[in-house]
Amino acid sequence: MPSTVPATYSTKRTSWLRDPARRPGWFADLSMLPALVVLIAVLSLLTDGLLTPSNITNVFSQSAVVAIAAIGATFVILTGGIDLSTGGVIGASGVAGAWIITSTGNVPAGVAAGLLTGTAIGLVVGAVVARMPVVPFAVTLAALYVVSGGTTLLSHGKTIAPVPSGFIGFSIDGPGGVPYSVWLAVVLYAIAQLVLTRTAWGRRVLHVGANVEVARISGVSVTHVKTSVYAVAGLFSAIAGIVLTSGLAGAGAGMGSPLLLNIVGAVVLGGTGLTGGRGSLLRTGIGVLFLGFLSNGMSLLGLASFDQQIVTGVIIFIAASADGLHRRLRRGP
Amino acid sequence: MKSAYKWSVLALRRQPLLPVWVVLLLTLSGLYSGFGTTANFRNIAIQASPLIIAAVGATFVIMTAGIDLSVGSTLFLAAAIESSQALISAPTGVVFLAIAAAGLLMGLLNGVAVAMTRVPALIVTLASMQVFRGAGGHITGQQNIDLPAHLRGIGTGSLLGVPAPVLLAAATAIGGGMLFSRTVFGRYTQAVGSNRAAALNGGLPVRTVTAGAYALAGLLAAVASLTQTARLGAVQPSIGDGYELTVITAVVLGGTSLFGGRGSITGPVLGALVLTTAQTGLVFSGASPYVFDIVRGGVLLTAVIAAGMRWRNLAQTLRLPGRSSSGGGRMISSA
Repeated sequence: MPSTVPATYSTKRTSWLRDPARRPGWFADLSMLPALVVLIAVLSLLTDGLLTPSNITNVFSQSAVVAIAAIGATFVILTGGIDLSTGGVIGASGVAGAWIITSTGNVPAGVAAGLLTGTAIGLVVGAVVARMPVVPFAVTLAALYVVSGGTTLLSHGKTIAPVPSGFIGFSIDGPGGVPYSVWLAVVLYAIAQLVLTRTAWGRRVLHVGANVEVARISGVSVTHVKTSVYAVAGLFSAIAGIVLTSGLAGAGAGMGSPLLLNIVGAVVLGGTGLTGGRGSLLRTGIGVLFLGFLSNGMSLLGLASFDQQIVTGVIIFIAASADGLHRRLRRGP
Repeated sequence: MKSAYKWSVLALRRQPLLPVWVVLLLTLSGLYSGFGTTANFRNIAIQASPLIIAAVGATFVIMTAGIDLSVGSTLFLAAAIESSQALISAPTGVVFLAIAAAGLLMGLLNGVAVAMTRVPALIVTLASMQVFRGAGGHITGQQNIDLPAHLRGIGTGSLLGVPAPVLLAAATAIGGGMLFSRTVFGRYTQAVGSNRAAALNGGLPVRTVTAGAYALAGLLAAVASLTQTARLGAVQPSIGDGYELTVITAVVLGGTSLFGGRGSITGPVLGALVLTTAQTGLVFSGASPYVFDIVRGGVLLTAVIAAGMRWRNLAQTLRLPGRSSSGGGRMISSA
């Protein structure tokens, strides 16, 4: 019996890396890892002491706040939305938490108050975005100023301090010399990645981002999914706000605002598509480390903060345009 | 009598913000003595001028369904260039041209990036917001720099009793209005924002028009910067911080849709006047400056939600007599 396999089809087994069908799902999420390795290599040649254990711990602990807030931002961007209010929510929940802690001395109550504040703001923002025909960026931009203005007003523009030293220690000590805040970020990434890939809610988030109409027709409540991602983003911004409060030993309304570009930038750098439906927490984690090593390296090189701003902005734009270019190449002309 | 009613209803449909502004002015004049004076109205007009200039530029960008978050940083970088060694002692005309050219270049950078890559305008301008502010900080070294008298003249001078900033704002509004409704470029921006795919299929120069809209916004942000810094008399590191919210609020309040394709030039002008009047009212009430953050955020939120719920339906339920509702933006898609 003659073989029915066409002559052009090779039956030779290819490497699992070259065969998209046998590649594991997480493999594509490592697309920015080479760039991270190159960055670390270049920076370690240019500077002294980038790769010492103490400096690496330093990079991780400085990235913890952005890392945690970027988890929430990833979920929002995966649905095709954007949350510009993150910085305001970080400030509001940090101030709420610090206020309870300094006035009652009860740390768990303060943390709970901070988390509740952030989640409640996220829920309101999400409800507006999901239920009304509005552009997410306009609603979240307005929310940013309402929240940060309100927080400044209620805190009289002052930093809420002092917080107990045990609370500050959360960002300094920890098992293995690595601060608790870093361990917290790692655990949250693991949980969030599992929620995204292994739960029905996670699949719905990806589904809504990939195609809203198809999601709606197949019975997904788009309103609920959209509302919930903004609430989740509020919760993670709140956790980031509490961690930042511990790191700064106090909370001010404006403390989160400068972080916005790094939070959105980390998601973009990892390769999570801004149109939604494509991406993962693994990607965001790589993006966070990229920005963390970049800013640490630039500080070691002695670059002023405004020069660092220029470099960060340019690199985030390049990463975002590389993502668009990559998709165009894959799709063909 | 009947025609007067009809005319006022038509005016209301076209520009529902005008009565809002009048009521706001009357209320505040009634509440605070010293508000309803010629000097104060003159002050409001001067303060609104940079916002009007920047908002007219932003309208063209938003009309193409784009967004420019970098407007505040463009303002700061233009001011920083103005205060640099090369320009600070140059004659006013040279400074004006140089700053306008710098703004045009910054806007063109945004525009080319938005038009040529597939990166959303939001991310492009979020990144350039950072780059421009960093570059401005690099030039000024984060210092306050005082401006010489001749450069302050752009903010304090006047012609036939009309302050220079107001003249500039009026010229921008009229020029912008002509560009918007009487030129091919204006029509094309509406077409691109209304239906980009149709505009592409119709053979319109979509990329050139998009880049042009951002370039114009950059140019006008730089002109706004000149009047703003001239009035302050100095270049401060905080100039333009959060300005993107004020500008976008003025544009959206003026009835321009963030989805693109629908809007006007009188809208942002009135929006800027309403916002500045509200801000001045807050100053008179003695409220904390942070209240204005909440007010403009709240106004943007309300305006966006109201626009989403469609004024047209509201007008229909109120049974206001209609005008033929074929906007210019629809022309291309139905052709």
